Amino acid sequence: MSYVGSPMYEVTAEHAAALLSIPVVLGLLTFARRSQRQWSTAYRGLPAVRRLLVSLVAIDATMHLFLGPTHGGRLGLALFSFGVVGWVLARRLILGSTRSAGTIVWALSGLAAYAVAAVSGRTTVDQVGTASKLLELAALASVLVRVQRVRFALGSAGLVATAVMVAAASWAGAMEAGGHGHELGEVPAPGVLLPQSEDRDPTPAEVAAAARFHRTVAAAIAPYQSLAAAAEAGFAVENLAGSAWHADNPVHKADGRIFDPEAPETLVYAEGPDGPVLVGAMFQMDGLRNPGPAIGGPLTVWHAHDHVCLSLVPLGLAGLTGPFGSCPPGTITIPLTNEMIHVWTVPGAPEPFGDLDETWLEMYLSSAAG
Amino acid sequence: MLFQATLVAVSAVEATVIGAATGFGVASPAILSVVLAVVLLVIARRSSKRMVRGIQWFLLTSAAVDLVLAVALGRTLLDPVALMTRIALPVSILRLSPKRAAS
Repeated sequence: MSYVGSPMYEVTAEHAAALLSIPVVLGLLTFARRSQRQWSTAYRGLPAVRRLLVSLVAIDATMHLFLGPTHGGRLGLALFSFGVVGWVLARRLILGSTRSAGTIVWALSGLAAYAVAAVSGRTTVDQVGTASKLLELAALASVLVRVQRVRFALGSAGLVATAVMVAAASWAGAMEAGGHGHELGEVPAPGVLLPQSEDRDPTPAEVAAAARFHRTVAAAIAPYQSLAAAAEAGFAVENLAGSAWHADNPVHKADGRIFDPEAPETLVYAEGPDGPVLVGAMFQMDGLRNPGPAIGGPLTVWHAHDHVCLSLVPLGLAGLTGPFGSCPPGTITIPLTNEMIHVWTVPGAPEPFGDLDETWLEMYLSSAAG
Repeated sequence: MLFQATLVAVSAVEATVIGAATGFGVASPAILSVVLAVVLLVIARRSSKRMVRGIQWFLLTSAAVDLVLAVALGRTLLDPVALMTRIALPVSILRLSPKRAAS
């Protein structure tokens, strides 16, 4: 089973050329160790931190030189220009004719431009883009080595604030690029995997099968609006909170029954003004990469999750792997889950399967209050 | 290490925001991230060899667990950025950290 995931965790085709910068710069650094040219002799005489800074700037600048032609237009020209300025900066850093200010201005302008481009959707947030920003952040950090205490404190605070801004922009860009309906052919949001397939119209038989299944599920789980009944049936309904609380049933998870409307693996509740409201059920497959039965064709698209951060103490979800590649310390990363599908039985739900519109749910809960 | 502290601080913000937004997040990763970020920021200035090595090995062990999970469950390696921040960065710090730092 092959999946399509969020570009945030992949290298997109439009950015792949930038990977060529790594062998190019490594080749240049090897050359610099042997050559007797002025710049290579000067490079060898630099302190280790300065050599590191030069390498970071050179790799990032070369990445942008490669990215320019693949993007084209004004954005491509801006990327290429940023690369050229980066190389000028690297040369000046080697020859000692520039101070930290040049690096700070260059790196900050690159980080700010990326944040704007990510949020506005002008660039795809992917591994290459994030790696480039990491190089610029590392360049900024290397400037702060061996500065005085006050400057170090201010610089550290600025560095953390800049990194948070870039991460937030990356999340926003990736979320905005991702679809929210769990439909075939769409770009998934971070953490969601969809089957690799083209979207198409459902056949009449698929429409009928999906409607029949939906009716059966709605009737089967209706008694579980009562939390007492749900608890008696084995669902973990203690401490319900939030707009999408998933109450698991360990017995149903282990019973080997697949997509059985009478035995959903999970019930989904939303916290309303008058208490928890049953909004639907979730069915899960056993084992990884086992495709769920798409009885409604494109109407019933199963999905899996990737890059899930799981806290061990206490056990619980702690988010998704961030743009900088990390889950919070103390968690483990679950790379892939089994497939699942939601069935929304709350009256008037915009879509009976897939993802439930949160804005609609909020309006429904507030109108149902009282 | 300052760079590493920055990344951990970002993790702390992410864990806090996602935990608050989803309602089913747990607090301990956010708390641990904040503590680790502060410790890293402090020892980035005054390095203690034992502490530097301890934290780097903790982060490398955590990355190794995730790498094993990625290979076993996802049939893939860590993402390129994760390889940079979670393996290349701690290894570089271990290699570059002073041989005789104040302890």
